[in-house]
Amino acid sequence: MITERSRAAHCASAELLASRALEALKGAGGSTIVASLLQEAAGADGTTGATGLVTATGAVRLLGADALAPYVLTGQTPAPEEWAAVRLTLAALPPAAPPRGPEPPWIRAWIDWGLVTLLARLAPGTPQASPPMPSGPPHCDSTVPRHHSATRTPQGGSGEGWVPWALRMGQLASLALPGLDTPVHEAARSGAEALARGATRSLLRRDFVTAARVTRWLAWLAADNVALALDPALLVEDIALRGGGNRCLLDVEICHHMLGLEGV
Amino acid sequence: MSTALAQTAHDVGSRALHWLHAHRQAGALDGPDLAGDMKAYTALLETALAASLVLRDGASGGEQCALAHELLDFAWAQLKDGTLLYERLLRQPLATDAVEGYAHFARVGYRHTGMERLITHFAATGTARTVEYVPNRRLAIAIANALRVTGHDQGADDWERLTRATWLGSTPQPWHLDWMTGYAITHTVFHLTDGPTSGQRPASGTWWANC
Repeated sequence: MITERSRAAHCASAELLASRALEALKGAGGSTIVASLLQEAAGADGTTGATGLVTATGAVRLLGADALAPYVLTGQTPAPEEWAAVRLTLAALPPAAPPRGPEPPWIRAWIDWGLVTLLARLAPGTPQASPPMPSGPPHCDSTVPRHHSATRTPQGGSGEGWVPWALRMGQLASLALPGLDTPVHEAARSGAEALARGATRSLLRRDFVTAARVTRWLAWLAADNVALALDPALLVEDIALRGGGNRCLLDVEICHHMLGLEGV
Repeated sequence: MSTALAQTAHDVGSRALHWLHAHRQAGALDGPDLAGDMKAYTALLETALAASLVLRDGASGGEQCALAHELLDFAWAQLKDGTLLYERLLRQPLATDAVEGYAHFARVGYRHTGMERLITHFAATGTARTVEYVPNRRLAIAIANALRVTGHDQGADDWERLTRATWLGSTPQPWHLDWMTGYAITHTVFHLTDGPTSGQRPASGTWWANC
């Protein structure tokens, strides 16, 4: 059972990891992101240290590919222990095979897929075989009511209204990085307007965290030369000005890089 | 509009009209002039607007047109055949609500000689075009509504200029929209669809409309 206290500890650890990645993206970090988080967590005494390590491991899996985004976006090469640290988190909580069943494990599988794929691309000596890809998301259907849930996911059935569809894309935002192109990215291409709506809807409700996640896809699409209904640079700037929290700001900084606005 | 949707719209409109008609006495002015009962004054003008739209659309049956005429007769009588509107505008030249309200009646044939003369003067002085209102309200006064109905508007160029000044006409990035601006947009839509070029829409997209 996940207690409130455990949830808070995971969130704090994820925020810390995001701040490390943010520093790395801005060129102000150390030589590792994941390894330094694990070392710091393990450094505490006794039981606290062991619990902290487990929590930090979970945080890495929570951020998924985002933890490695600075290496993709800036071309920096980390110290060798970085890759060992990422492999440790994967060994401690092995990714399950892509599920066919209900949705949350399916989202989990995609986030894991992103992390494992980036590790394979970036780390020397990692087997290059791509991990099995989970199936794609349901398609966004502009003819159904906006809150409509897809009847069967992800294997087929009716399409989905743009509100839940855009929220799910937000949950998959760690895949929105240069060099990745999967059925999820294909869904983003065909749902550009729904993503613009989703980001706008979140901003209107001052939910900057969700807005930043959905905006990742818009920045990815802009970099892919897809025409957008809104100005992604202004959208990111709005979130940068009004949003907060390291994970949100990490999304902002990743968007800046994808839009060619780094250093803003 | 689909047939089912048109039927629903017709049913809702019809029920609303019957309700307004049945309860019209509750909207009577309390006192000899407008000063003491501005809420009832507003309600009378809104009632007149609703009834004038029934007649404008020409899609309503004989019974509905009769109800609409009775509602207009009632509201017009409450306003002492337009004299209360005339007195309000005479004393307060910037109280454009009197001109806007008068237009609801004038478009379906109710006229007040003094009011006509006053509005001509009001248009000639430039006051109507320069009252410091938000853009959608300006649209209400100058084009779609009051001055056009009474024959004092300045044509399509004005319509274009005023439309561009509204949020809907220029569609900036949508995420700063607030409640009042959303409300203003509904009014812009109303005035544009009530105007001389009601078939036209602002060029920019409104993909954000139900965010």
